[in-house]
Amino acid sequence: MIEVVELNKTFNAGSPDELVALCNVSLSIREHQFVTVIGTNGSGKSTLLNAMAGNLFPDSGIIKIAGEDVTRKPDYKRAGNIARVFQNPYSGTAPGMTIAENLLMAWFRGKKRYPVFSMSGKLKGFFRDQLASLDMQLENRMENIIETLSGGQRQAITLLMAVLQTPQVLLLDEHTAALDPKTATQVIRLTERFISENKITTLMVTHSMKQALEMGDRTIMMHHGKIIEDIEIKEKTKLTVEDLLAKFDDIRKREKLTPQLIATLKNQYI
Amino acid sequence: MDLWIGAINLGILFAFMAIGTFITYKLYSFSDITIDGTFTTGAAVGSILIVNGWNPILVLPVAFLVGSVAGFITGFIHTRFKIEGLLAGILVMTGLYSVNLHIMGKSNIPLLNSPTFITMLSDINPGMNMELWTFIFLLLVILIFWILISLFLKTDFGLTMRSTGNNPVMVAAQGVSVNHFKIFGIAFSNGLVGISGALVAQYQGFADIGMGIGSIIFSLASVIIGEALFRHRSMFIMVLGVVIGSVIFRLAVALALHLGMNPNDLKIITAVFVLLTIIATKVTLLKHKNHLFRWLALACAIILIVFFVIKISSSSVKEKKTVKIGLLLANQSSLMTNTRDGFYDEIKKMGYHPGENCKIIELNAEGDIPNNRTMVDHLLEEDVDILVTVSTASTQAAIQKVKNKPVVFATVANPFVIEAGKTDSIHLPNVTGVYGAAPVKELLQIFTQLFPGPQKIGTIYNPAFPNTKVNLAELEKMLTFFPLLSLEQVAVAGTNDVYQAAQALGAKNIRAFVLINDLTVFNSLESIVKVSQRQKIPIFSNDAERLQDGVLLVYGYEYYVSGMQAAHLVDRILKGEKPADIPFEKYKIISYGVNYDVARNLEISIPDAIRREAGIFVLNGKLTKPPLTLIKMQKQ
Repeated sequence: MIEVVELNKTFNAGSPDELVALCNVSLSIREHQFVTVIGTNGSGKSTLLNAMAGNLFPDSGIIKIAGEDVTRKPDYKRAGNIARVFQNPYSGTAPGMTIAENLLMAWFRGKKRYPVFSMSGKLKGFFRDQLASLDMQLENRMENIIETLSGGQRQAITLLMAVLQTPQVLLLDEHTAALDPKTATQVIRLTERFISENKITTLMVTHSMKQALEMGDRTIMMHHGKIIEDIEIKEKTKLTVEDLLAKFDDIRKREKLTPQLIATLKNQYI
Repeated sequence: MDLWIGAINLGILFAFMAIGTFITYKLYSFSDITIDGTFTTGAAVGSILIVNGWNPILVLPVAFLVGSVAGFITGFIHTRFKIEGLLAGILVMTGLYSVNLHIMGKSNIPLLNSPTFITMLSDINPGMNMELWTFIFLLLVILIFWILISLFLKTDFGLTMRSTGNNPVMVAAQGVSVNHFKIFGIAFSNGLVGISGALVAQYQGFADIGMGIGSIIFSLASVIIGEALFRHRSMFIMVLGVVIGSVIFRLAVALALHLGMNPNDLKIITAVFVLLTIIATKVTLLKHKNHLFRWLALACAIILIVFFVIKISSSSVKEKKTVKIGLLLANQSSLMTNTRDGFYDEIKKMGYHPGENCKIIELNAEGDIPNNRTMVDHLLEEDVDILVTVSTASTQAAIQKVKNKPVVFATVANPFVIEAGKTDSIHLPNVTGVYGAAPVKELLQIFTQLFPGPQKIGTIYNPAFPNTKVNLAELEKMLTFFPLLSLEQVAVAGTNDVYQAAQALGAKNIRAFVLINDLTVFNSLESIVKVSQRQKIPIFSNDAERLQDGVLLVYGYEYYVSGMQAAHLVDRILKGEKPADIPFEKYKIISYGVNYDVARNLEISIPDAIRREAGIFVLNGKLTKPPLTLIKMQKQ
């Protein structure tokens, strides 16, 4: 479903701030596969996701989605196939519009919009049922403005918007990182349900090793713009968080990370 | 009454522009200064088409289209080249100035004798007060438009437009091209502004190159007033708020004029108002929901309405006592004020004493062209017996509106181009006045007296002024009588260009500057004098008033005299003569002057013939101007 070939991306090339975000990254993801991505800060995991979404263009390499070369297609032209949920719960919804209006925007994802009125009673009923399935009592607040909702509620709606029209690919960018633990669990449960119900090919960047291991059927570890580990489901079930940390420890030995940095890593990932 | 209904009508016409600004500013958070240019573009396109025989209603879609193109360009350079929105707007607005001049071919198009939506309305008027009848019609139009535009913003497409402004990241993720929707919104908004311009031009009876200045601030003020009064999410109520905001804004302008406030102050009041409101909305968003602010805005509106009511009740019981004269000036230039002074001095000599046996209401449009129209309404509201208009723009506004009161104009170069009449004696029945094309030929004659043989002369002018165009055409025509003279001309867009223009002419080795009457040149003569002194190029001018400022020789009018003559015409009309029976007058008195100090500095000897005839002279820094040695203009 997703084919990434020798992707390269350098930010601020030639300046003292030069940052190699992707270095010859190749990756192949089968249809219906749910892949989690972990990595240190600046490892290139978000850059990889943004390159797939079309938010930024790679310096070289090819990205194919469902067999089509989309490397140079801007984000809005890919949106018909790709749905996204952002880390910032404020990014995924229009704050000044109602829940129903936001859902209508998502209902037309990747389609042309005409000066007609599509918000019929039937469609509203459908939206209500979908909202009810979130189990957050939002179904009676369809005419409320998004601004009045909490971050968790917004993220749940963003997730619903992403799957309202089943996408071929779902990209999740640390979408629970900004939520409190309880809400995060709620959103994670929704995520798993939506993905398994619709069998969506998914790439989920996460900050939590626990999430990375527990969810999906494949985990990718990134570091310094490279994929350093690619763990399939059979191997995954046997791994523990400690094993993953040990892998980062290996990197430490290779790259002479200071104990302080390791401590930060532990803080960050456990 | 007409002042207030007129203000409401203007408010409705400007509401199209305000709705455009609502789309860019409220929906997209984009301050689109392009509209300062687009407003004029709409007026220009509409007027030129009407003059060429188009139906006044059919020109509106064209004005919309042309406005949209301007908006499209702003949107395109903003999104495509990532140029900041304000800068993109300024770029297009600046460029539009030239485009507008080209569309119009001149800086002012009169629609006095052309069909407009007003004349169409007047044809089907069942006998109502025209301003009221217009109001009923406009109310109906804006009602329909309000419903249509609100519905449009509620459709899937409109919803996407609103979401694009609200959260571009989100709509991009939903497969919407943010850039395309942004460009569409800006283009659509400017289309509405174009319509507004075309309508206002038809309403006030002319299009002028300067009519769009300040549109963005006025428009923002309207949007903000509307928002303050109607805080609601419904598109219907938001758009209604903008329309009402626009009307309230125009009523406030009318009120300010009515109270005798200087319109120049009005601009800073508007600017401060917009600023304070924006700050207020930002601050109160953090605190409680704008209660205080809304209350204040409401209080302002109530005060306005109270004034309104008082005005209506007082105007119904108005007493008639002394003679009331309305005096309207277009701006504060000395052209205007000298005419005014001449008028005052002469009318007093004839026994009219302001404050005693007559009342003179003097208004000044401060260079803002649409202001002239509101001021004419104000003078009518004051029920003046006669209107005296100084300048072409003021005259144009007055003759378009006033049909049953006498209008006397002064300091107008050519009343025929603004369709005040066909000849001196065949003219609008209620209009007469004093005019004069500058004595260009005589000036050239004097020049050849001083510098015989083949000579190159240079002139500087601002094509944005209608009078200047007339004078330049006259100069070019008169040059055919002087085959030995060749002309170098440089056009300027403002006073800042004049110095460079003078240097450019100096570099072309001209023998002299020959200056026609032009407000820009008049106001920046010092720049030319500098070049004149440095390069020893004498200045010949039709402007008699600046002889002592470094001009070698003047032959032209004192605008003071124009005011004097106007005073005589006013006197004749007040004594019972009909304006229809009074032919237009040319200026009767010519001033001929020489500056001997300049002649000495530039080493030019003045022949005796000129010394004898020139009644005015400057010698050793002293201006000698014997009032009785003004010579009579010679008939050619």
